[in-house]
Amino acid sequence: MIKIEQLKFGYSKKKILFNHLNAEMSVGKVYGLLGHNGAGKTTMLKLIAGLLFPKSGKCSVMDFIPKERNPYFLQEIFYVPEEFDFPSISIDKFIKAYSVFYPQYSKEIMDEILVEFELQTDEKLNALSFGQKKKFLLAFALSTNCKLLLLDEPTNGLDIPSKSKFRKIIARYINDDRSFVISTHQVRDLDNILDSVIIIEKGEVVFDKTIDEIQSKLIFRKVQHLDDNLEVLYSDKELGGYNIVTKNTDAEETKIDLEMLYNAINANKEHVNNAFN
Amino acid sequence: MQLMQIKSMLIMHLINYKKGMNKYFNIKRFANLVKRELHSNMKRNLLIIGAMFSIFTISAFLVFELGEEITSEITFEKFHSMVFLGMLFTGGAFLASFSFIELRNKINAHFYLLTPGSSLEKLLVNLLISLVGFIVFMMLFYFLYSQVFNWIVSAIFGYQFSNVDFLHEEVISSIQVFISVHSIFLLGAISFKKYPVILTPIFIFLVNITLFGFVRLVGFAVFGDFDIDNQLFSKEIFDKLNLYSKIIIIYIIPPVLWFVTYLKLNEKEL
Repeated sequence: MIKIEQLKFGYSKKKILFNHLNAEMSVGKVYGLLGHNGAGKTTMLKLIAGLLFPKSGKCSVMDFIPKERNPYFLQEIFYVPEEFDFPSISIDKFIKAYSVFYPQYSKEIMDEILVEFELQTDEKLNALSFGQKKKFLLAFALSTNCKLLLLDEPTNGLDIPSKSKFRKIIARYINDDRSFVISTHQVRDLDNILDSVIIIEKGEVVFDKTIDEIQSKLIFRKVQHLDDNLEVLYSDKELGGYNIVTKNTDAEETKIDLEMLYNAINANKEHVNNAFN
Repeated sequence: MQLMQIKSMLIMHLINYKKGMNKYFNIKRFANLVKRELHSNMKRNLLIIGAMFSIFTISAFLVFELGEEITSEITFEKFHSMVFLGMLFTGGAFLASFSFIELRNKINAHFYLLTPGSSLEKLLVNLLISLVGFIVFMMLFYFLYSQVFNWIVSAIFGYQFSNVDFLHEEVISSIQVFISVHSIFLLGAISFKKYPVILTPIFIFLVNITLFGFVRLVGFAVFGDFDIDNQLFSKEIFDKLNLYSKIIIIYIIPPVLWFVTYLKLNEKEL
């Protein structure tokens, strides 16, 4: 679905963000794009959406070149930015004006999610709180039935119950024909919904594995003492013991702790990546 | 059998061609973009027009009341034509400058750029609304307005102004110049991130000054103190220059600037 090859991009000639960026994402999956602030997550999403143009290299999405902004391509992608604002029209009017551009738009899905997020269609968009606006835009994005959804920090501004609803909704509406790419630095918000994790650091993909691969190669657990026999890839001291990441040598299955994984990559990416070889 | 194959190949070719063309222009998508534009910006456009008419009406009544009595025949004859053209240029400059307004707000620009429509369609929407639509609207509305205006002015001040003759040569050529000016403001709207309605005329002024200075400098370098305006150029040459500048203003500037605006829209990044 998405193929990025040797992509070079920078906001100025001197400040190059991506030098030889490579990434591939397939259809039917939820991708988590992780990285600290300024790592290039939003830039990567904008390059995929065609809002920014690569200086060199290749970026293709569903066989389209995003920078051409072909209307048929735009009908199949929806980008939910971290920050946005709406015109002063009602939810109803916005839906009427924008839904016509998306041939697969489903009113049923829209109504369902609006009910779930407790939003009324006669409410004025600019009178909503930031969290409510975000919930509306997420609802609209999902109801367009676009093949590719790009969500930039989608849980920012959502309250705790809404974050959990968001996870459920994402899990409900992913299918074999579409993909979601979710960029976040709040990794706990993406618990249990990801199929793949991509971590970028200083404009480079430093980790790109499926959840199955991670589960089969790494173990996440809590121990009281650090044992010398354990091949610890990363440890984090906390009250009453240590959270550790170790190699999975006995085909054991543990729940992935995304935060631990992210910290482990941050601390020593070569060490962790070697566990997959 | 072979004929059938050729026929199906031709049909496939036609479908692909149509699909290829559709990525640039599709009437249904275009109509949706027009609706979207009206939804988002119509209120603002009407406010601009309303403000313009209100300011003029108040000013005109103040001048009639406080100023000297109007006696000139030309004034009675051309009053509405001049006011109509003044409003057309002023309103048009404002409306054109507010085109692509979403692109000036970084937070909202992605909505505009990612709305499924081609750059050509997005440009044509702006031309349809702020140029064609505005000219037609102004003709109809100004005609009605002038009737009411004349009736009230005649009742209060006793003045009888002639109606605008939209088919008069001067009005038609002024509208042609307006199309050219509009194309400059449209380009300004996509080029300047802030205050295009102010920066575009400043830019035009600076370009004119530079060009004028350059021509004078070249003239001085080539002819020295020789009075080129009066002695070298005959009336014939001036007529020719007049014709060429008309061709440039009416037929060359608008399509060239529309094309540049299209390219700028195509290349817009966030």
